[in-house]
Amino acid sequence: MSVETESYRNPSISTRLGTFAREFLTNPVAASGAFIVLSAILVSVFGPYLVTDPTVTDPASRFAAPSFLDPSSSFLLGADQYGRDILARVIVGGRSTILLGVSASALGLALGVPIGLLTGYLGGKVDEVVMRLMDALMSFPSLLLGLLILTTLSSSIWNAILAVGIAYFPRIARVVRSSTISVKNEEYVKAAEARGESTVSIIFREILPNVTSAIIVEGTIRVGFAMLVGSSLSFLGLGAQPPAPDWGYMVAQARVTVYQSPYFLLWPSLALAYTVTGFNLLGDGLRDILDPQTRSD
Amino acid sequence: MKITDFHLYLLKRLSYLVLTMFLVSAIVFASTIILPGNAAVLILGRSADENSVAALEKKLGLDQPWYEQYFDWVGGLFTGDAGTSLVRQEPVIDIVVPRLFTSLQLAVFTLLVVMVIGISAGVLSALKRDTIVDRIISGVAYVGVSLPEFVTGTLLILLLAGPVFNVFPASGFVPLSEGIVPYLSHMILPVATLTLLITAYVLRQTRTEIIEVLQSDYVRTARLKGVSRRRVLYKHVLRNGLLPTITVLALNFGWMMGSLVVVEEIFAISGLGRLVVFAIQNRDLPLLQFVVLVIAGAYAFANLGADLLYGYLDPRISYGGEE
Repeated sequence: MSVETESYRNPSISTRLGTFAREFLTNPVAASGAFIVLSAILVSVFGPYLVTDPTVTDPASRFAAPSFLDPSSSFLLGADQYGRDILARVIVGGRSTILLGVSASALGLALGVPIGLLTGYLGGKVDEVVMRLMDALMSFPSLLLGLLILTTLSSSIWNAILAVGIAYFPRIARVVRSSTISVKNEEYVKAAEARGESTVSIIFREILPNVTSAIIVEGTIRVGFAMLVGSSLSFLGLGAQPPAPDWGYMVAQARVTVYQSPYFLLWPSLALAYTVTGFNLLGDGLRDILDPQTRSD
Repeated sequence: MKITDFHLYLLKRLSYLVLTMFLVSAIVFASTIILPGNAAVLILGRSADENSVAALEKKLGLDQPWYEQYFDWVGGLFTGDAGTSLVRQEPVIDIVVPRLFTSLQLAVFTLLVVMVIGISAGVLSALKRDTIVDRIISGVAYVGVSLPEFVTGTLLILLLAGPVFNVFPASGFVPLSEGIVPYLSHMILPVATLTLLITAYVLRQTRTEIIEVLQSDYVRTARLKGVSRRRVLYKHVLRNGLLPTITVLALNFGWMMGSLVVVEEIFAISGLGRLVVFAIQNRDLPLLQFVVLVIAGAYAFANLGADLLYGYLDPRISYGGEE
């Protein structure tokens, strides 16, 4: 019996990875999400090296240039009111928007996961007090909390990451806490307690490996949300600062000249929608594979 | 009246709400007063000289210790005095209340539209599960969730209030007292923007629940007993399948109150969201503190309402044990 539970719990890593990879590739939602996310990341990581136009990030170097250019062979998507290549700005802008989404989600995980593990495992007074605090933080809609934090700090992409990360960590803590509660009475945790292992060891060696699915799913879905909140902050002028190319800020700028050239608005919007959809699909697909009980249908 | 578990649960949730609002007020206060950049410096700018900063601090009561400032502020809230706007020189309550009313209209209107579209599309895609109809509905909903409101809003303006079809006004808000037609025509684009964003959540929830109910034993029994398809749908499926949807709607109401900032900016609607941006841009801290408190309060109340509604409507929930 004990051998069986042991082998059920820990099939060899390579078998588990193999099963995961097979399920991942045959799950259309996960696979298409992964493709979109991967393509967006590759373009924003390597694309900027193909962009040689210095005016993309420094508009001052080309004030006298022709503006509002229609698409042509040298400006595939046209140029904006400062004569900057739209395609290049969309490619470079992906860096700041994706960086913001991924870093804010990572920050949320870094703060939320330990809190969720501790409160879930310890329970009692600690749990009560900490979760009431989390509730209070969660009574701020994330965009509003982001605005509040950016007002007291100054507007910059780094502070926007901080703001969105802080806005999201209580939600992550809540998810991790409930996963922790559902595994803390499993036999292997009780066995570790009986062996006299320390709380820290139980949390990190017994519980953490069994709640990773929930953490991965939550972290992935949060990236999409964080990109939306982050670009909304940039749209309101509080995130990425001009002349940095950021999709949210580019949309805000394109709105001013939307009647002269609606296309300026279209490209950063499409890029944002494409990437966010990718992270959402990837998160939903991962949930289907890793966590079949909470499957959405 | 007998005291039931539900009453105890209600009491517990209400006391949590009080506690939460207390913590919220502390966070709002802390983030505007204690964190770097005190109010006087924010108002006068970073290059202001020390004397004028000190003078303004004295005028605003900022030379008091922080706990006295906090209790002054909270005490004021209980007596209906939330402070005076630094920019507008009026009581902040007088500024906030009419705008709260505008935002509420926007949120309620959107909620009604979302309810109608989300529930009917959700039921339709559950009944037509895994057909092309289901896939198209899911696809549209997916894109709706992934597009931020500043994109959909601007695209809607471009399409319906611009050079292509100039059907609706691009911005502004007209109170109902000026006629139903101008009221509605100003409301349509912002409501459509919010609807695109939220409908997917309601739709998915409805679809999941309806599919579950359709597969349940009692629906199968009813069908086998020879009850007509239509009657089964109305009497059993919808009644049981729509309970969780109501919760999602209430949660979305709370979410909307906090996320109106962008939509109100795009459509130049003077509601609470735009007031937040105004207060931030003008460093009007008493105004900012109160607006944020009102929005967070509305959000907390909507979440409480969602929980209570769900418990009230679904008799299977028990409130005896913990979690």
